[in-house]
Amino acid sequence: MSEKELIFIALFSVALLVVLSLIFLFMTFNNRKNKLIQEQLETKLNNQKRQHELELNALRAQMNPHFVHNSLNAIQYYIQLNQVEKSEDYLSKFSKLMRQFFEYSRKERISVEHEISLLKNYLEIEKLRFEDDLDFQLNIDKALDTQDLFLPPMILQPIVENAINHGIFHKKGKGEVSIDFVSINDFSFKVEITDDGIGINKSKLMNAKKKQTHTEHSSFVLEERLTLLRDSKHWDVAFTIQDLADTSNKTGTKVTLIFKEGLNEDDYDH
Amino acid sequence: MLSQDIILRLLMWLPQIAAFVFAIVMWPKYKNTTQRNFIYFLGFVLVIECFGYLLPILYGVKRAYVYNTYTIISGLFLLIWFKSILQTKRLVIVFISVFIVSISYCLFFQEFGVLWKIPLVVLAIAILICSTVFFSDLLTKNEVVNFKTDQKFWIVTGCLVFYIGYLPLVLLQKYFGLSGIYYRIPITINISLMFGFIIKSFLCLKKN
Repeated sequence: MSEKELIFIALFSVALLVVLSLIFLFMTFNNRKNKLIQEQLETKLNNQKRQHELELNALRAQMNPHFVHNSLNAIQYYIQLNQVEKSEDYLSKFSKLMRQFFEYSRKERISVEHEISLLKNYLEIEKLRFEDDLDFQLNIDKALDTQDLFLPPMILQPIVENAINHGIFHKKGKGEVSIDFVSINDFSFKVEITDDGIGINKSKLMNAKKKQTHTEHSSFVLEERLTLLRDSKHWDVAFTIQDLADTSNKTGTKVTLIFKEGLNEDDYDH
Repeated sequence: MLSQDIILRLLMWLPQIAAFVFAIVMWPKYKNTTQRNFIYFLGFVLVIECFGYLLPILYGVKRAYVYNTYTIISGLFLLIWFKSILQTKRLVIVFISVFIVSISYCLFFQEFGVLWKIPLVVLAIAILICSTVFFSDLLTKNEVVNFKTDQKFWIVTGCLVFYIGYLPLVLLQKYFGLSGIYYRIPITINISLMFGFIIKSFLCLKKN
């Protein structure tokens, strides 16, 4: 081989080496990038799917057949007693509540004002069933902007339902549920749901004896929903549950939720 | 021959000047990163190119003096930079030590007026290994999704491209009889490519 041919081979090999290493480098990085993006999308999709499943479960929990049956029975009772005005009033409350359940379950967030209205309706219908055995209080902090502060739907009502069905229901005599909305700052607020029922520890024991898993299941659904909401970065909801007997001589359960909104309003418009 | 020489010098200098200009313009965007010293390095490269061109003409100083100084300073700079960006610091410390040993060897056993090849080969191998480690590290991180806007990625790619082409040229230079224009053309293209990637590393900061 002549010297020029050797030089040509050498330079060609060097050029080829550089080009091939560049192609290899970019192909490897692009493939890895695409794989990672695909994995992230799949995770996001799975989370969304799970979120929807949980929302559906929450809606099912709200629309639970026992509650519908008991409410309609109570209304029927007033009709039988010929208390037409009272039965009409409760029927309208019940239909409004059903409408709210469906309407709010489709939304990503609802205002505190709407949530309070739903809870009030719900508690009034429950009071119809329990009559004098149930009292409720809704305390709203004056500093709380109920129209401009939001929370995810179907979070508070299942907790209130648990307080009534698993706390107060098993208590002898009158029971009370108190819901306090407390402002923390412009972007966060606290909700405390307190009942003077038998307490979560006793309720869990009773359910274990009856092999009833509804309470555990609903609180699991709630906790998983809160985790997914946190993962979505839209919400930061701190959730604590406490048996009052653990810290005082009272009985009952106190659930505290602290809502911190992680997303501004514009992000919800799309 | 003079026009060829000018073309080759322009091909080499223009990307170097452009890289320094971009380093100045984009300074606020990377002044708090591990790449902040590149502005001084690129300025140093221009000074060395000026000295390498002017000193032999004006004072008859051997070019190898200038380029050996460049090898020592640029080699140490790049290795120290790799130490700051790689997780496996020990490996880079070993390379820095071997590089210093190779420089010491040349200082004692070779003339300063001849271009030192041992430190160059050591540096090329060290940078190729460091680049590979950097890329394999990056591939395991989530940041790989945004690799095109990662300044470090483009600088390392520039180093890799330069040294992957430079190493066989230096090692096989004698065997293939590469000298004069046949040696300068691939080296110039390699340098232009490397500084092209360094320019890209500053341009990608805009997208960030």
